[in-house]
Amino acid sequence: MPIAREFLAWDRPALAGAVDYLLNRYRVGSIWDLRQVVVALPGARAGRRLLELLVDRADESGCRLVPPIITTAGKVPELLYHPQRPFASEVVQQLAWLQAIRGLPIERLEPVVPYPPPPTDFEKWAALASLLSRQHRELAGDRLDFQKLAELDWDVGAVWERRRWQVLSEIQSAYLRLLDSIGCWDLQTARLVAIERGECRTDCDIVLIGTSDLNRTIRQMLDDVADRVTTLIHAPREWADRFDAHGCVEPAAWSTAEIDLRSSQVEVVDGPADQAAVVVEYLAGLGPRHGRDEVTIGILDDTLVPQLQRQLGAAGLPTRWVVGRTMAMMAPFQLLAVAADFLSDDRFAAFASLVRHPDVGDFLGRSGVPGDWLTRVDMYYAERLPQRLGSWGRGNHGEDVVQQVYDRMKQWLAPLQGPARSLRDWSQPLQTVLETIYSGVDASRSTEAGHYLLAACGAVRTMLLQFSTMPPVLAAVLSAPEAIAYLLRNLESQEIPPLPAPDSVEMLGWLELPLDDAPVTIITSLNEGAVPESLNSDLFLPNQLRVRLGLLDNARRYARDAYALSAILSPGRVAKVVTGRRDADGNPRIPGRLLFATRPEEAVERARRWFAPPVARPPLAAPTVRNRSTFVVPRPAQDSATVSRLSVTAFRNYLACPFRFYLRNILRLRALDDSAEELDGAMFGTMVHEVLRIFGTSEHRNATDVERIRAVLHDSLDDVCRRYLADQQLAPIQLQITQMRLRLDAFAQWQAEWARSGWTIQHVEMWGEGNPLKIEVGGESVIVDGRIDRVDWHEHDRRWMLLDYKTSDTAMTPEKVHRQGDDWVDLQLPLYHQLTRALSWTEPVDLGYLVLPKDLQSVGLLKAKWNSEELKAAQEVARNVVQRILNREFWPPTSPAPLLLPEFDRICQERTLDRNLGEEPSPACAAVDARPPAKDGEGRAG
Amino acid sequence: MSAFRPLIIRASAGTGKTFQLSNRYLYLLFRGVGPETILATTFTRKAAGEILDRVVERLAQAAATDESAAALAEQLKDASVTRARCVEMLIAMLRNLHRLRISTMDSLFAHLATSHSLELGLPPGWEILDDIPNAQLRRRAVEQLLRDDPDRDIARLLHLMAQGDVNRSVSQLLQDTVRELYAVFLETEAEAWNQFPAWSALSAEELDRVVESLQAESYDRDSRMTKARNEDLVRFREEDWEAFIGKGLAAKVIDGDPRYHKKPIPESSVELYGLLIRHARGLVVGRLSAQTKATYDMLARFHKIFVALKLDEGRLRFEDVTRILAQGLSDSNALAGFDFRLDASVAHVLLDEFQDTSLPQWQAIRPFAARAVINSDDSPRSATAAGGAGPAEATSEPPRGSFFCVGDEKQAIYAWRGGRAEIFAALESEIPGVDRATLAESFRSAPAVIETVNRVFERLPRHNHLERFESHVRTWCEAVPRHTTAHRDRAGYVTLESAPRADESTFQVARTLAHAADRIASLVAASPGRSVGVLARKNEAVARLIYELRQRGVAASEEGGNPLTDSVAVQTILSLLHLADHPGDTVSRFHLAHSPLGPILKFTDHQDNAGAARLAIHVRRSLLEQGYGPTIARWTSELRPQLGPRDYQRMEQLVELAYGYQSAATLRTTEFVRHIESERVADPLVAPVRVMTVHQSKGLQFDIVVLPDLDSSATGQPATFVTHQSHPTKPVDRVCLYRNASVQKLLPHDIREMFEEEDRKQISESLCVLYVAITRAIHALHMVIAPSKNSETNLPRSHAGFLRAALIESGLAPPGELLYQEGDPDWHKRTVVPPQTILVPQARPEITLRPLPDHRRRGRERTAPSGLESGDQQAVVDALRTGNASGRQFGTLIHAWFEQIGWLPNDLPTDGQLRRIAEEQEASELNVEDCLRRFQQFLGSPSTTKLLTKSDYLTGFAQRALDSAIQAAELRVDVEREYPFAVQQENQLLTGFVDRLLLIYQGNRLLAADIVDYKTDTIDPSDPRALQAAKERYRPQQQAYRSAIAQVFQLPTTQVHASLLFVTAGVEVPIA
Ligand code: SF4
Repeated sequence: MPIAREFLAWDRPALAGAVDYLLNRYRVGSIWDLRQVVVALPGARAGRRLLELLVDRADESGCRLVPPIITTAGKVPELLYHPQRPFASEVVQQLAWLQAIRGLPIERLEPVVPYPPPPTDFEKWAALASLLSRQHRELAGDRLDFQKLAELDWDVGAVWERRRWQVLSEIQSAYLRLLDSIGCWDLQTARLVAIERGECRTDCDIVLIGTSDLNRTIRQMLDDVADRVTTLIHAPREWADRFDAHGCVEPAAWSTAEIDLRSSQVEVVDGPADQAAVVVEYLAGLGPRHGRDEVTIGILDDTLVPQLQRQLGAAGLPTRWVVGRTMAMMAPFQLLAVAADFLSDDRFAAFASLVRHPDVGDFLGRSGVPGDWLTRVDMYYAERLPQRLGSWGRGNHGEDVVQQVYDRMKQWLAPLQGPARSLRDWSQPLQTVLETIYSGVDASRSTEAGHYLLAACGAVRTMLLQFSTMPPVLAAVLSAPEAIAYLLRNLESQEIPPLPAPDSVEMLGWLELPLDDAPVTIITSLNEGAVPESLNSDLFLPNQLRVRLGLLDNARRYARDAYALSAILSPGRVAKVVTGRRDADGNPRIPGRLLFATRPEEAVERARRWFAPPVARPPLAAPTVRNRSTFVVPRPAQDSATVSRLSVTAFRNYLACPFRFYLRNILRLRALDDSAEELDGAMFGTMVHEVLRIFGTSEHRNATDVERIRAVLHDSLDDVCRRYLADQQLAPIQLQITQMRLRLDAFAQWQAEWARSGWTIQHVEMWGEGNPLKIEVGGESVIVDGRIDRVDWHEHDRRWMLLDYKTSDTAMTPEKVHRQGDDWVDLQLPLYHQLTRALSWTEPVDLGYLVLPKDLQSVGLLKAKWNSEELKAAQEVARNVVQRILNREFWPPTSPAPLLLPEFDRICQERTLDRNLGEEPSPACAAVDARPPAKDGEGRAG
Repeated sequence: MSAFRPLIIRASAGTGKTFQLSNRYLYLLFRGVGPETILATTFTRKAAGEILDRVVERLAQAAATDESAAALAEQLKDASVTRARCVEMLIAMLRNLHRLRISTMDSLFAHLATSHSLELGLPPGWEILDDIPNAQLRRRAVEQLLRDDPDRDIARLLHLMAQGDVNRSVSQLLQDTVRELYAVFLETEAEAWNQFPAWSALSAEELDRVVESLQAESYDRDSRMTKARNEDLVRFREEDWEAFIGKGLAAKVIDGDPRYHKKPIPESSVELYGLLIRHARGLVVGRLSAQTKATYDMLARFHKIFVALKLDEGRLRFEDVTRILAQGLSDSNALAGFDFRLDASVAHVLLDEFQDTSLPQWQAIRPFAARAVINSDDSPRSATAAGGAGPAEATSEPPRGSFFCVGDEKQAIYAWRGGRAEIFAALESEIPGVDRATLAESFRSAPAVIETVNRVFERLPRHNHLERFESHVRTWCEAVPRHTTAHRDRAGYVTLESAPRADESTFQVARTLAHAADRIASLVAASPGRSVGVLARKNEAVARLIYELRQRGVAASEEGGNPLTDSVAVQTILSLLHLADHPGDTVSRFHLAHSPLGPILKFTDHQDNAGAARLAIHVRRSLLEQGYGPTIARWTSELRPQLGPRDYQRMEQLVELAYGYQSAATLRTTEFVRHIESERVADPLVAPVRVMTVHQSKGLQFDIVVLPDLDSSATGQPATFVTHQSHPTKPVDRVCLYRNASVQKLLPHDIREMFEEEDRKQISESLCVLYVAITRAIHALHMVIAPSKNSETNLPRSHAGFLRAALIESGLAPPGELLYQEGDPDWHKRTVVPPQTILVPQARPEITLRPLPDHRRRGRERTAPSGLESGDQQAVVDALRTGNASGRQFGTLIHAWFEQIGWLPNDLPTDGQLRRIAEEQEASELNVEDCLRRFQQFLGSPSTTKLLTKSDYLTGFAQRALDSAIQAAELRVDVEREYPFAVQQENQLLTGFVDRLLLIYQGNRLLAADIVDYKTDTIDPSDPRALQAAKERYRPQQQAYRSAIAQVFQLPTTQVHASLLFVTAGVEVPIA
């Protein structure tokens, strides 16, 4: 007896018809008992809707409903036989495949994997295992095994394929044997066995609704209990020949079927924004006669979702995308990921990511670490450039806090330390680690954040449970990071549905649409690739092979989708179809073939419309209320602290940009990050300076023997490295130190000669202690701070030489650095000179740079050649700067932006197209103006 | 000639390349070729889309009317093309849209490689590695390279590479090296980097002797010569070779003109100099050789690490895929395998923009091309006209293969990314019997433009200062065919004008661009509605022009776009994101605090350390929990009242980028900042004036073209290296690092030739850029250049200089003058303005669907009583606890066993039955026999027995729940196990199963219902507090059961009772 086929009314939604059917068939008096009925639908969502309709109908007709078993078609088989053994979990199957592959000698594998992953690379082998597992599942679903493929008669051109399947079939047998040995089954095999042994039976009636595509295994099992099975086909009776005995689509019949889609229902637009605009307009046109639960938006390409949600939201309509979020986005997932990174390689970067996980941050907060720990960590890195943390002890400021954070992390992750162990044994430590972080944290199920957090933890728990119950023979021995990676790989694509949102319009995927019964449906992105799907090349089962084997092929995919679209367009429903010519990246897309399943003349017209050069739609206007943004570069506060001291370098800043000077030297704003990959110019310079300072104070400072000088320099360098840098520095730093050493060697050469020519080092880091340099203007004065790197004296010539060390890669003359054209842009050396005047030195004073550039030939002195006129002019400039600073002239920022102090470019709105310096101080400024003036001395510039 | 003889078309700009290609495609279709066997590739997805559009559109037109069909028949020279056949073809094509192979080479290769990923050794599930992660990975590889250097080799190699310089930055140096040289490394074998002759230097004694002798040379009273000789020797001792051979007497000797200030250098000196030069040569070549080799060694180490990292991440670049595929296809049998997995054999190959093909791309496509060519031999022959079409014979077999390729060497502007136009030329000799065609009739430009194009390339070689480029320029220009235009009547106008001279405070470049912007503004005003393309060479000029145009109120859009950092609002967000990563950064804090975003986020005091730390963690949490897109979208909407339209639009684009970024998101917000800073995002609105680089303009056309950026050097920066290959289709077989002209003089002849070849490539590319730029115009072309410098003695070697040489008799460009014109200044009055193309944004409609705050009819919320265990708040650790697996399994099993029991003792299942049930359960952690024993124990407990024995139960129930008037004996009870229910309650659907439902009847009247819920929690029966707690915990659940059952059986809720049976403890706890 074949399966009974019933046709549901075409002019009503399928589920409504199905409810009618069930009522007619099963109601007895006031009892509508469906306990012995299994209702199978293609998807879970349709099942939930069916139950709603059943309950409503029971209420309407006043009968007592005992609900049926509602399930998806894919789960029906397990209702038909008693599996003799428990099913192997996903993870168990995967690991069994893995072991089966690895059980084969590597040479034997060659036809399948000519380039096997390294034996230690568990990840890659596991990926391979799931690849094979997928093939197995699909083939078994259609009652095929690898051996059958090996036995096909292959073309000469495809002998390779035969060899491959032969080996694969060996692996498959090994896999099955393995499962056997641990006393479990995989689902597909269990079904095949049940069919083979004729074990399928049921006491229930089975009613299939809209299951337009079933695989061969399921069909066979249904056939075995055919007398209990009815399939409800939602289609006009005249279409009977478009469906087979199981109620599934007949590919041949559908390949030429016309779909009742009117051209007026189709909108061809350009990009995603236009698709969204069409949807907005369409829904706006519906007006209030429809409720928000009467409209469904079909999503065929989920990259459109954010765009749609925002545009609809802006038009006042909340939406709910039923897919929710994937595990990969979840906090516990991310937490494990960064923890694994840190465990596998505890370099600073991994540590820095780990501590930035907000849950770790909260955890550290709870465990009493000072609130600014993250800043301390950044500063520690910026100053010492560690490659990894863990060796401490020089007691620099902030180090204790960093150490505390680091120790806390180590302690927290301690359960995951130690040698590789079985996957089974990682379950508990992993759980402990998570529990530590989340202990004491509550989450609310009804908030989005809480809902996702709890669901994610639940998913982790389920997977850990699978780990812990895994048969010991299969449990791989892994390191903690490997175990975590494996855990995450199994979790990452799991989806967590969103919270219910009663007042939203639902967005559904394609598969849910045919049985959805909203009166209005808008299908977006009806484009090739999304619907209908097609498979145009494959690693194992290309389309023609699928055709040959009777697997799901392109024709069947097309038929399925053609029927689905017909059902969505069925007479009882209103539908709109949108198709886009471009994706979010601006790349062209192809129209869905279904659009052309119509009369030839109509198809010609549609093709002309689709492929003609597009007519652009006007975009939706920006919902803004003003013509210009209110972002204004903030003005300096007029009542900022009085400046009483200035550093020598501050003059350069001021000359470059008074506003940036204000930010830098008055407000003392500092950029901070941890992006350094090696010593930057400043740090490199500081270290060289320090070495040279030590040399300048050493007893050998006036040595004329190169070797002696060099020895002092080398020793000081070692010392400086120890003091300045972390023990385990970043990789390039060792090399940079070598570079330093080479430059110092060249310096030693020069210095020896210099000393031989009669120069001696008199002072290092000299400044007029007790006799500071004061610049007075209009009764006010400012003290200038600085340090002259080195002051040399020539006894014979009775001259001074003030030297400033320069360590940048290319040597620049004092002239180049201090002046641009005729303008002074830096006043360092002239101010040094001025200091000596203030100290009433009477002998002639020369100024110069002692350069240590990358070109070792050029290491040596670059003398400044300014005459006294010029120096006077520079000093005048300095006075002028002081005057302006005392007048608080910090505005406007220099334009175009100077090269100096680039960290302030954002504040100054550099490179924006609508830079706004504001005519009046902005309201934001006024707010800060009201701040009490800085305390005495606070405005002192560094 | 056969219809399907291989055909190569050289198609000048605007001559209808795509038309030719679609002709060929359509022709094949009409000859019965299946579309899945036709491969058509090009370089951008946009261009691929255009080919498809063009093919289908033409077919659809022809299918629509008889006239169009006739026109198509004419174009294809195929009389069999009728409207009916067009319909038939079109329908077939539409049915096969999924099988078309019209794509970019990259996506074709990715597709091929995916179908063979295991065989090619690609990581399973590999993905394409995008630019930004690629750069990150490269940095990581460099870092690792430095880290894994136990032998300190790197220091040695670095010093060699840096030519003795001691750079501060080592990782930067390496990264630069990798960026510049890795591509050529990939194309070469190790030997290519080791192709220097072993020239020996003089021995120490020899050297001393020579130097001494030279020192001793006397030049009578020629003090200049003596001085020069002395300086030469100093330079020689300092080993400053560049200066040595570039100056003084050595320079003269090496140039073969041994005279100094017109006086002959004595022979003896010349000879000695010869020896010194030989010595220098030996040293220079030796050093260059060592440096080149060191560079290779470094790259090889880097490569090894980089490849491992990529494989580990499972990500590859398109270039990698191409190379691997080319390897995999090099086996002649490989094609069949690809045919199988692709379900079709590619028989017809149509290649577009062939001049841009790189060598690996050609190697990968070549097997397909070769097969197509071979098979085209046995194609049915029939007479045909040029263009590839011929009269059809309906009966003829479809051709088995064909090859077609179109390109233009004059438009080869992608050499920098591997394009090798030379392959194009080589192809002709590679393919036997290939047909060639040259197209030089433009379907785009007005005669004025075409005339100018011809003039430029005919007369450009007159430039007086081409020097070493001269012959290359000549050769290039000679190859340009004379262009004609199909639109002989099209109105048009071309000018070349000079900008005013810049005053001292501005740079001439800025002045020229400003002048060009003025010009554009007046053009737009004079001819509204026309499309204007402003084409610059560099991105900086593009940005500057946009700025200048906006200043003048001209709506201009930027092709390719700017980073979003051109918006103040976006910059503020970036500061916030930086702060989230580094709360100690006071610059970002200040920026944020003084922006409109500060008050929104309640952060207005930049000195607030604690506030900054809080804000940082808050932002990171929000980004993690909600994602970048939604979080930034929320900020955008909160900022909206503060935003002007442009900033709003940029913020919206930021949101889009943020959504796209999500899959790459890490916990480091600064990585997103970097992403935003590097990603260019175009204005979505195409303004009538589009500003772009010449490279971006390829394939586009405009009514008016303005070229404002013609003054930079034509040849640009010297390359970092030069290469040699024996044949265009052969890999590079020799690499040499770049050295300047004076050092070049010391190098062996064949290496110097490589430098010359490099010159040729550079100048050719530059001429290509000029060609592309001036051929984009339909009607008008306006070129704006800087005035000639006062000090100018030669024409500059720039596009401006080229144009001056070609278009102005004197070559001079005085400031602010019209230097050249052609055509009609009033052209726009003689042509019809195209329909309005400017799109005015439209108002946003409001959606007024009826809201349903709680009465949803479809998609109601579903509640299962079993999920109501605790309230809304839950400890996160509870969600994590696995409990023990055996506990869960035990619970499930016990439930299943209890479900078997109707009434004791009759319905007690046998041990055999129970074991069978256990077999079906997941019971891996259980000892079933133990469980069985325990189950028997449970059943032995008095309360359990009482509850499960009918008479006891009824008595108990009657006492407990019923009016004392009713006797147990009058009662009848039905027992339901796992009783399913579903009811509508308020706005939710309540559904689930009752473990054990007892329906109590008196006669036929249903009196009451009683719910028994089995619990396997361990509980201490003697602890009343524990019992009470359990009761409270389960109360909401039990109430839900009661109300559901009450509704199903239409009983008052008071008549529905419920109790918990804690089976392990053997206690029954009544709830109600
Ligand atoms: S608010 Fe005050 S401190 Fe901040 S920028 Fe404006 S004026 Fe300066």
